[in-house]
Formats: sequence, structure tokens, C-alpha cells
Amino acid sequence: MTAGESKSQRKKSAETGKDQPAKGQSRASVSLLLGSWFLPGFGHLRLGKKRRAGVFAAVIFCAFVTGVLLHGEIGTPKPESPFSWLATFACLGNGVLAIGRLVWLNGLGGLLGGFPFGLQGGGSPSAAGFAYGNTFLYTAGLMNLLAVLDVSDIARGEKD
Amino acid sequence: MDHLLLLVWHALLVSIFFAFLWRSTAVGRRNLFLKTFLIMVAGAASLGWLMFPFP
Repeated sequence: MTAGESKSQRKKSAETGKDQPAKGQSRASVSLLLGSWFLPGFGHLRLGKKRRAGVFAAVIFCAFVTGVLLHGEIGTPKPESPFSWLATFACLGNGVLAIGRLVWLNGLGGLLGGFPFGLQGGGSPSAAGFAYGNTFLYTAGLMNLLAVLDVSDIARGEKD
Repeated sequence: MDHLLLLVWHALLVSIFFAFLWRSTAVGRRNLFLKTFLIMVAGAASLGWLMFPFP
């Protein structure tokens, strides 16, 4: 694809005002990907994939709520544990769900003031479902991140 | 807390997600869902059963 073609496709996309898939488009818009991360299912909905959007949103929401109900902990960075950053990454994949839970636990002031090492992730390590809850929370976040990559593929015309 | 129920619930959610992520037709989704769901549930149960003799 030439630079001229790419430019004309971007112009066409801007004229329509939607992030419709365009065959060979080089990259998806940042706002679409951020929206897809922040609100599970949003990206697919924007691209006209209503059923997939609904299923992804429902699955991720159910997994997240199950994790919280099982007393799972939202991953937060801990200075003595470098691997806690991986748990943080996985949990933040839940977008608004994880951020909302952190605000619920820490308050908005605590969230902003305690970042990164002073945050409380909730959960109860002594609860029987703690490990299961964590697994559900990580899985939900990673599934949402995969959905974001799927949105990117669809927006670039690489996938239906 | 029923561990088996949690296993089935987790397998169900993950299988539905990947069926919709990787397949675009109804038949393809159904087949992938059944395959992944059964592999996860039967695989975990089999692995658990095989681990019984170990301390």
C-alpha cells in the first residue's frame, strides 16, 4: 500500500466519523483501543460487532464479579515483590471495573495519593476462595486485553 | 465453596470467550466451545484423579 492510499483511507475514516474496518489500514485509532480497554465490549460495539461486544462484556463482567465475591485481591504493586507488577497489569486489564474497585477500596484521594505502592487491593488471603478469586480477576483482565487486540485487528481490516 | 462448580464456571466463561474470539460462524463457535470446555473440565478432573496417589 502506498503512502497516498493510506492517507486517503485515513481521510475517509475521518469523514465518516466512525472506526469502521478498512482493509489494509495500518493502525487502529488510539481512542478506540483505549475505549475498548476501559469499557469491555465498547470497541466491538463501535465496530458494529454487537453480539461479540455483548458476549465479551458479559463474560468479563461475570468473571470479575465472581473474583470479587470470592474475596480475590485486585493486584497492586508491592516494593518487595516484583511479580506483583504482573498481577497489577493483569487486573488493570479490566478497565473501569478494576479502577472502580480500587476507588471503592481506597477512595479517589487514596487512589491518587497512594499510587503506586500505597494502594489496597482488597481481598482476604485467609478466605478459602482467595486464590480462586485472584484467578478469576486475572483471567477477566487478560481476556479484556485480548479483546482489545481483537478490536485492533478488526479495525485494521485483518479480521472480520 | 464447591471447587468443581468454580472449575466448571471458569471453564464455561473462558470457553465462551475464546469461541467468540477465534470463530465467526455459529457452527465454528459451537464446536470450539464444546472442545475447549470439555478439554478443560475433563482434563482438570483427570489430572486431579491422577494426583490422588501422590502425597
